[in-house]
Amino acid sequence: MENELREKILEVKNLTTSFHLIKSSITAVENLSFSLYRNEILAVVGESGSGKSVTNYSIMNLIEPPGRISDESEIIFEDKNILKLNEKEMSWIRGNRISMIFQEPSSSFNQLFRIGSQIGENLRIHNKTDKKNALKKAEILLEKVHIPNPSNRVLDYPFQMSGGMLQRAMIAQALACSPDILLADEPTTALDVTTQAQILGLIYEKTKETGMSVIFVTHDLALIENFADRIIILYNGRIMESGRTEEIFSNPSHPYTGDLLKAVPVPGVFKDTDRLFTIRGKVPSPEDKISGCRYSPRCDRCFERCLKEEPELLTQGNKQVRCHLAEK
Amino acid sequence: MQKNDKILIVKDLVKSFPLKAGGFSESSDKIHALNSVSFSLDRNTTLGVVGESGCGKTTLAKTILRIHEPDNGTLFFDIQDKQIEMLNYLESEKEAGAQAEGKRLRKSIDFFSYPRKQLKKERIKMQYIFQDPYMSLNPKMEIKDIITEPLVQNRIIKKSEIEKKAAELLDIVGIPSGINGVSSSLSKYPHEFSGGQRQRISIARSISTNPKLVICDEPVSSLDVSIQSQILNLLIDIQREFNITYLFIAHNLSVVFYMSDSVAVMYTGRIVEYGKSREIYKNPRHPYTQLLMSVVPEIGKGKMVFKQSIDGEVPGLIHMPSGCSFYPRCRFRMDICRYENPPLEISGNDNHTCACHYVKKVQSPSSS
Repeated sequence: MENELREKILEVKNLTTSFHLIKSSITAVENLSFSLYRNEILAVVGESGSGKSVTNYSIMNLIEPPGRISDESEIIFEDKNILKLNEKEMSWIRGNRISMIFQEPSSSFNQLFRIGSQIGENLRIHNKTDKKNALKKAEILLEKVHIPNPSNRVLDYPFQMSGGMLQRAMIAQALACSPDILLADEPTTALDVTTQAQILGLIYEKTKETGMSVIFVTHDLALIENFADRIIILYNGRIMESGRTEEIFSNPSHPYTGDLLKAVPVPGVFKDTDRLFTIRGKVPSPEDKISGCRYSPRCDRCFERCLKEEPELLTQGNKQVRCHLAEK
Repeated sequence: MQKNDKILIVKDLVKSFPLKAGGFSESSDKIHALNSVSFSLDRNTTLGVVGESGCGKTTLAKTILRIHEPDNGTLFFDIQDKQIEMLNYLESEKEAGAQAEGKRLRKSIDFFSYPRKQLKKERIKMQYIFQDPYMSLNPKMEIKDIITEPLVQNRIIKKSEIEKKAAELLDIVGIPSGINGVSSSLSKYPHEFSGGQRQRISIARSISTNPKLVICDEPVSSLDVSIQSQILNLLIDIQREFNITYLFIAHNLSVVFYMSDSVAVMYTGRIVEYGKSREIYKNPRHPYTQLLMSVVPEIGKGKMVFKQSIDGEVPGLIHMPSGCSFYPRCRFRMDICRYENPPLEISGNDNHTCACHYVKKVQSPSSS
């Protein structure tokens, strides 16, 4: 309920993105609707093939053929459906109002240009800053993401930096134009745990500092327990459950969420005393045609109705859940 | 036959990789990947190895298998106590005859001194499970050939027995083999299987030779969360059924603590803490272990500290600092740490060892 008092900054309505191949078409996300509020960290959690990255790319309107975002889909940013904008208008939003950081920092930078000029590129394009000032700004930005000795570092090439430093430089690049929304696509998966903690700390700090909102895509539930404000759990292109972080962790409504939480080893559990809970079967790929509930082939609490009819996404208080069991 | 309860004893293992300087000149710089690593591993137990990337976990595993030849060190694999004692005795003798005898004995029991032929024979008892099941299975081979390759290569089974043996192995790892059927998994190719199933295939291959030691190098880190526990449980079941010893490498601390009986924490090619899994979990001593445990996200852990004093990164392995390599990042650093590398010393119950001047200093006055 408190959500309604807060300012919505982005609204995704009925987002359906599919990929049309010669013989078949694959729907990566189907009828996805959610909102992002100002100054909030929203985590999108899912396994491979759940459509979490496609969601991010769709928001940036970066889906290229054979991929297609359906005509009914709407992504509302500042009262405009950004899916209907032309390429020029969209370029003005990308990197300026909505920016994105990627999983693999070393392959996201151009190896042939200096870090400083790549960070400054955003400013040169969007703010029409001249080269010299852009470099100076880049220096300040690097300092803000805690890179030591920034005046020398702006002249480095990407290969001269370590993975953690590059990821910080990428955050600096994304923050250059003080965007309203930061899309983070598994930004710490390729990094060490100690560096991961630094990067998470940095994103958290910048969110509180600048008031931007973050959509944080990850497959790691443990990572976001103390990090995200709200969580969306995706499975096979559908929202299975969404709600406030504490609620989802303390009282998961969907069997899938519960199973996921039980299946990972928690601290203080050892093999000689406890056996891990296993989820049977395999993660479905978007090509698999599953009738009824998408999780039914793997669910322990599955009953007849689950096989026939796909449950609707129900809203219960602050929570949303897609399960027949939750209907009663 | 009386067997040692230690299956693996590693002593002073050193491995470095020379850096190419270009042209014909050989640079004197080296990457010091492993610096005097010593540990032992009990039969039918699991030793977990944790550390950040570049700390030498994989180099350790590959050097044990002699995929990389070590620069220095000793490795006893499945050797009786008596023989090791004998070797120590002979090598401590000054007499020339005993020395020569010692040399001969070393050749026959030190894994690192085995001649090529014997190495091949002994290495069948060690197997390796790789991290990425997409890279480690040859996409052009049928499943039955993949999992029996170690056996065929070592002429343990005949070509005609492949099918039967492969079906047996698939059964153990829980993949329906469907012998003679149209949908027989045996003649499928790796791309027809999902990531979790591929990792099962890779496990089937590793246990095909009835190994005594299996090295698991990040076996679950490339798998989906809902698949990980299936594979971990399978590894545990196989260990109990076939009496296998694991060297389990992972960067995920909760997985390592869960899977392991003992844990070794590595940093810059050294073991900085070693002990029973429970003991280290309850009572981590080395500042580096404490740092790792504080930043690893775990469900139900409570508030996570995002920024500890982790400014600074792993030092380069080319010019190793003369003192403790964790010195630049350590919260408890003292003057002595800069000059002197702390040895791995007993500091606690159950052979809990730790290489830290600070821990030693704090402990010694309180215990006396």
